[in-house]
Amino acid sequence: MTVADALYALLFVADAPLTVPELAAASGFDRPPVEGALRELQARLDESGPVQLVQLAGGYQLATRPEYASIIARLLQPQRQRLSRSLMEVLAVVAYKQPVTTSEIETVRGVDCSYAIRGLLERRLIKEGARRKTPGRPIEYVTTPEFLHQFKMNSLGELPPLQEGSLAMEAGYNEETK
Amino acid sequence: MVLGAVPKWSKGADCKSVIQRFKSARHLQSPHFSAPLGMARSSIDRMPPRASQARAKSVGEGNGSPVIPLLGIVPAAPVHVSSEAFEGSLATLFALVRDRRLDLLTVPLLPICEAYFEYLIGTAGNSEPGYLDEAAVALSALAYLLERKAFLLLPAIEPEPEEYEEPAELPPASVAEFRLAIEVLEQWRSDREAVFFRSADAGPDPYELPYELSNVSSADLALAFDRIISRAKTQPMPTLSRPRRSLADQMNVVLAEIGDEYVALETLMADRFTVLECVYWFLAILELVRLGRLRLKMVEDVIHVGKPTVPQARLWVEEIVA
Repeated sequence: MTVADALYALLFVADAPLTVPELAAASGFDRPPVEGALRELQARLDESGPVQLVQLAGGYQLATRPEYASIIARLLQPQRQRLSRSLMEVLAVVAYKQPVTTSEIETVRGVDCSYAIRGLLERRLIKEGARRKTPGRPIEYVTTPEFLHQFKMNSLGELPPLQEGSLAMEAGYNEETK
Repeated sequence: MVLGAVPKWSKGADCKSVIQRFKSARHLQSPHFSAPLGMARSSIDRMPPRASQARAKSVGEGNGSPVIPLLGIVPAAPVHVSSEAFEGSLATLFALVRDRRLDLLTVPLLPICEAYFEYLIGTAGNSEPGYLDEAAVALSALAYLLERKAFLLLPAIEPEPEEYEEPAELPPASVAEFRLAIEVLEQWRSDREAVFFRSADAGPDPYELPYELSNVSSADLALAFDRIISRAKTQPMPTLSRPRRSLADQMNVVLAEIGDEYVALETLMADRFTVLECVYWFLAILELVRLGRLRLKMVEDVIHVGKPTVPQARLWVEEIVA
């Protein structure tokens, strides 16, 4: 039994991303050989087969290749849940400015955001963090591991950089989104 | 000063000196004072000046006790007020002010006080027992007017303006800087939708494995449930210490109850079950059907339930291939 095979077995039965320390603890190997075995397994799976090893939400997880999405969808029949423009805007503000309060989000967007925040909380994309030590002790919102998972990110560091907003572009964008 | 002497009064004289002079007169030291002012106020304008005086005289007269007017009514004193704002008796003025038919602020009170002192001076030699009551009623009316006017002259308390804070105006929206980031995130989410994992919970689009209901519809299940629950006995009162039941445990109970053969759904449960038990049984059966560990079929309008002979996953693959 090689380290890569042991990790393959662990990742096969896991239904959530496994971190390197978790894999090392479960397999009984040290971290360096585990990290090397993960790279080896990733390369092996990339060569052939319908399964790939992806790095998501701070861990590793086995997933199917996008080429097989259509036949899998025929079996599972997933219900597509689109995120509206307002939800995406609030989610982006939380992702980039977290921890962030409701009033800070509304300052950025210029409109009431309570409905969008509630929607994102229900979808578990954001969660309530600590209370800020300011008058009123407002709740701070942060993103969740599900956010990373659903947007195929390993960490928040992978967020695309923000563009420099010019007034003209801002006006055009705001007009467009009305 | 000679007792019984009448003090002189002239308009514009110093009031203090006149009062001082009048106090020395013996009339004000008389014990004849018992006017019930409240009643006198209310009726002062309605009674003729001397109408009840005769009746008042009859009570307590001659025995040296204070005069108690009959029915407590004291006639109005004949104090005549003459000023630019008002011309008439003090009683009329009192009634008009009391009923708010005259603005007291427009009426100067100095002529009224002068008229009262004139009345007092003019009747200083009066020895009738009811005289002091009459004077007291006039004094109380005058005191009422003075108090009322003093109250009206007090500066009005202006209501404090309600503090109203202008809502803080939000700065112009700056969400435009997130525009490209949002587009990238939407693209990533779209890519993520094409990738499937073992767990459906973490995905953006929830899904579940398809389940098989054969020729049984949801309505058939609802009717069967209705028939079963109609047989349920009364729910016993729950106790605080009762442990919560697990649906997983109930699913094991259902699986143990069903053998290799299909059995009628409505005869599956033993008799004398409660509504709660009934609900647990039915939920467990539905969950087992959803998981593919039980199958349903309709036999002569009766739903039968049994274990599948072929693994459900294999059936799905066969159906897809077909």
